[in-house]
Amino acid sequence: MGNFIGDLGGILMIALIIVLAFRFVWDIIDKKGEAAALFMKDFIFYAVSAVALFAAVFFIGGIMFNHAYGASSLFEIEIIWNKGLVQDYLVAHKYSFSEFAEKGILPLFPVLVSFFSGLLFDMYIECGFYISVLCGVITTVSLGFVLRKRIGRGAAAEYILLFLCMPAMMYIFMPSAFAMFMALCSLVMLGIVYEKKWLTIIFTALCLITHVYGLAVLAMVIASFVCRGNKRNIITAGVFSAALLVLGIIFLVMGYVCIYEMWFVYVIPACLVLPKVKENSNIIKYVAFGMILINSMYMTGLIYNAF
Amino acid sequence: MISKILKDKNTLLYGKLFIVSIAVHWIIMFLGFFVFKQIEDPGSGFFAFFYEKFVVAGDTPHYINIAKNGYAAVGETANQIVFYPLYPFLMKIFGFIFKDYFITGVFVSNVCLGISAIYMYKLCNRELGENAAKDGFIIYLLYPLEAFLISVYTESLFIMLTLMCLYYIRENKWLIAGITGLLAALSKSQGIALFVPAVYEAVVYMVRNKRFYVKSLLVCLIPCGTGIYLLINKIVQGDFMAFVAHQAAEPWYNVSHWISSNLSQHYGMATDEGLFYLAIIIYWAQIILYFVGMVALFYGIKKKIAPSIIAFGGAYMFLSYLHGWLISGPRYMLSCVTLYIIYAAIDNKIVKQVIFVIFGLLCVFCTLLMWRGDPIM
Repeated sequence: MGNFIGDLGGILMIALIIVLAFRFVWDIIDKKGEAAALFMKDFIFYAVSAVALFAAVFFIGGIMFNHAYGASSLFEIEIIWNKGLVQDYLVAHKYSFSEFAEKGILPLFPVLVSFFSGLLFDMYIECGFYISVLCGVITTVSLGFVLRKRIGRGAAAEYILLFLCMPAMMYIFMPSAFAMFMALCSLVMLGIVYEKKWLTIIFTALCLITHVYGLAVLAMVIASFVCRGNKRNIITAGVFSAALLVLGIIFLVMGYVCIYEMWFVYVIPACLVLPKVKENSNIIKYVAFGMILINSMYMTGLIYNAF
Repeated sequence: MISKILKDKNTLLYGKLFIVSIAVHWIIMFLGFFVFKQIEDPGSGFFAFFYEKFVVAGDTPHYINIAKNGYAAVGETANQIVFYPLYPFLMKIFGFIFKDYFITGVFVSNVCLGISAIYMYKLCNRELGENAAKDGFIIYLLYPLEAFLISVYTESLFIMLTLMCLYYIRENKWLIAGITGLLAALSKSQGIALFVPAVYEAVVYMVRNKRFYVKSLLVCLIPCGTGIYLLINKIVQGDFMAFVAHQAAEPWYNVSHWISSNLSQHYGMATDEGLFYLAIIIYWAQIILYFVGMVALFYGIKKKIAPSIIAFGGAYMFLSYLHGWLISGPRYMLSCVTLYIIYAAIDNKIVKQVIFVIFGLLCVFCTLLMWRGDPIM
């Protein structure tokens, strides 16, 4: 009961922060009438979708773990989700340059978490967890707006739901430098699509100190600045994908990235080239159905340490 | 300046608010004393017993000592650096008039209470209109722990500065907002929370006017208040964060934890049979106030109260409930001024009446407990 009251209180505070953040965006967008209403509606849709689907995955993962290994709180991420990227984060909480040499972990995420955990909390893991959840929401909302700008509201919403069904999607919400990289990278994309150069440059710089894939982002940004015209998006996505492939292979050999990071990151360039879907087309729903099944299998295997 | 104030059509109203707010608090104190007298013999009259009882109550001796001797670098009183400097500084200044730091503190608190009531009215009036402003003012007078506002505590000073800062933030008067915010940050740790609504309003103001206002950067004075306090730590005890170690030690044991852990801890204490007596007046009260506060903030958003004011409430509660081993939650919530404004915005008369009655019934009860010397902190 005590844990429940505590968790409920914490969740209420986070919910308040998110609602106020939305309201802040609403106020600074300063659009009039219908456009503002639609913007806000989409913003809320992307964010709530992200939180809701993540909560569902998190909850089900917790139940699976409880069933497999006996009673444990659903919120004990260091026990339930101590796998893959989260494991890297857990060992890297006292950042040093040897972490970079051994695992390619760059400083921004661990330093940021250390800063907040030193300033506000004495619980490093929880602090990293809250930052990562926020990163996951930022990733979803940013990619949602990238798609919205390119292919319209309806298709963007469908693609976002598909994106959130993908196998191992929970890692964009889990404490790791990759979660933060995805958030920053999607903000770079937002800057490119909305042609905000300074925003793009700032987030690119942050990407470079967050994850080794930051180099690929740099290549993408240069390509986006150089290219103009109809093929800009395709060229930008192509450069980014090629850079990711080359760097991915190199870093995989060096042990800096895992397979999951190698393919999941392609979600970002995909947002630049995904086609419009016909109205009333069910193709995305079918793909999402397949994805969620694979995701289920992946997560079950993960919980039982099969992968 | 004075003639301008006298010519203002609201001057008479503000004068009334000033006097009524102080008078109501003292009447409640007296009612509490009256009940106390029926229970046990105080052995002296109202004012003499007030002096005798409250001069040694809670944090009062610490404020008096700081006003008298300043912060200490070492020794038994070195831990008093955890108390923010503005209130004892004012006691020091006015102490030259009254020659007694307790009476000086009571004077400062009462004046601040009167001014805070005026700004409570002004802010509610600005946001919600005249009728709602009266409701906000009334519920502020009835908060059950009102005794803290007229005795030697920093609360009334902090509330006054907070309300002034919020009012001027909403008026987009950045200089005075920055100064009052700085002073608020020098009177209580939660004063830094004013930076959130200040930045919020400054950004929205600039975006709406589509230009950059250098003056709006004056809101950065607010964290400077906290910076000055940290600097005092450095000068006096050689470490910017000296207060952290003191807070973590006896008798406070305050270490920051995430809110969830703190609420769980409060629940554990509340259900500990050995702490039954403290459970009701401290731990349950803190838990209930947290959830009531959060629900009220969401309700405030629904009622379209200015987001910056809601943001202050959220930031204030956030900072307050980060305190591990919190024992002053009910007193901290006294200064969460957003909640009074939200109360004023409630449309449902029944709900409003119920809250009014609960506050009204509790305020004499809590005052009685303070007269008895119960651990209301």
